[in-house]
Amino acid sequence: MRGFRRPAARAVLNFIVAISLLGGPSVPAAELPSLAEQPTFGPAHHLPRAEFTRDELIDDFALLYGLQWAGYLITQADIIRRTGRFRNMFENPLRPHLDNDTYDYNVFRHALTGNYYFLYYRSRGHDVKSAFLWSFASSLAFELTIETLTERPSFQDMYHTPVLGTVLGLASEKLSLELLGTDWAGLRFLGYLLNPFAAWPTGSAYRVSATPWLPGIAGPGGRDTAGLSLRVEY
Amino acid sequence: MAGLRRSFTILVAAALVGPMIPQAPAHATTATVAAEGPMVPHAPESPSWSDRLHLLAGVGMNFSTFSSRFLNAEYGSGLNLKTDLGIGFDESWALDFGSNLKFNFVQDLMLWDTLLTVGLRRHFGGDGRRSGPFVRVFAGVAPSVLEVRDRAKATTPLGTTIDRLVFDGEVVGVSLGSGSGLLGGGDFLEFTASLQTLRREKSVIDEREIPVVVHTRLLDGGARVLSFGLVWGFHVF
Repeated sequence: MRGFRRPAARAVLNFIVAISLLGGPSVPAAELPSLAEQPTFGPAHHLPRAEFTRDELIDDFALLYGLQWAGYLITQADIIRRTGRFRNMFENPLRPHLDNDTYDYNVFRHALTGNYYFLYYRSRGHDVKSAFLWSFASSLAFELTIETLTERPSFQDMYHTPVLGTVLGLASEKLSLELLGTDWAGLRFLGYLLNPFAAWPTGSAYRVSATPWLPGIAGPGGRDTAGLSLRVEY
Repeated sequence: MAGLRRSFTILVAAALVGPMIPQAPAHATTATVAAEGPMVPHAPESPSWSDRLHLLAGVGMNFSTFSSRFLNAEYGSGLNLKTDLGIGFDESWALDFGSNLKFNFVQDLMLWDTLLTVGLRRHFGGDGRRSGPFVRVFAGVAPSVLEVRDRAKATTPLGTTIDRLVFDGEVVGVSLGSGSGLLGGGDFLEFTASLQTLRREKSVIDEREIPVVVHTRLLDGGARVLSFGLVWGFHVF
């Protein structure tokens, strides 16, 4: 018992005793309620913000602009090596045109990109119209200051990226929120896959609620004597 | 004692997880705060320029007839995706920038058009929610792309070196529509007729994802696409 004279050791002992009291031998482990085992997930929703500070707006736009540059440099590395010229960035913005791309690029890839712009701004708390306008601004920034490294701005892309992206983004958001409200982990994972910004690490306007359900605990004679419902929103 | 321990367990769990009171919806929380705040007269906000901004989107089918160097009086049909982004001046008039994507399958070829237009929209009647009938006249540019797939390369005179033909030209047209009532006034059915005139033909190949125009020729103006489309759409905002 000499060792337990030290305060730290005494604290550890107290903790162990407390734990043993909480889950004592009189209640079999299988009957103990578990928060982790039986949560049910409630409806997920978007919580728009009424106001933004100027710094917040600038920060959100700047972060996406940085991600746009990173994405462009990574996915278009080969094309940049072949056709990228620094002077293009000054000449091309003044020469927008109707491009000759395939529908794969002009319709589907740009709509998918715009979908992520829209969901990003929604996750920051913008309403639908505001998220569309910021998506439009980010799309213009990409067309006029990033992609100009290798090509002229495209009228089709400037229109389709935010517009089709918003329509697709609304559908993605709705489906994602439905999936995030289900109890099956696989479907919830799919929900995050459809809308990764719902899991934004520094806080998102998407709210997911969970109800860790503590089932009735069997009392004397097998009757339920206690139950508890909690709801957590994150 | 066992019951006491169980109750204690539950309380500890509640403390770890959070309050036991179900969280009120956001609007309810806001309403509470507003009710507890000072009673300051609410000044009406001046309208923002974006208040009248609207976006309409629709999907449907289109039926087209083509006349060109390779496709004489051919008919095609396919998917139609339509969006209109604009500003409403009042409950009756609006200026729209629109995109009408038409995909048509003709023989072995896929022809898709992008009608980028400016249009004037006039709403009639309705209940102030733009659910009544409307007409939109529009004009703009209409790049049309004839995709040449492998099989088509072998069965048409286009040869094997061309990936697609891109036609530049203009388009004029008119749309007629009305709220369908299927979504409680937020949706509409719209019929569109458009006439494209193809002015220039560009032969394009893809060089490792970069489209390169290898040949351009002017058309005599006789190449046209006449289309009829029917879409079901809704107000995005």
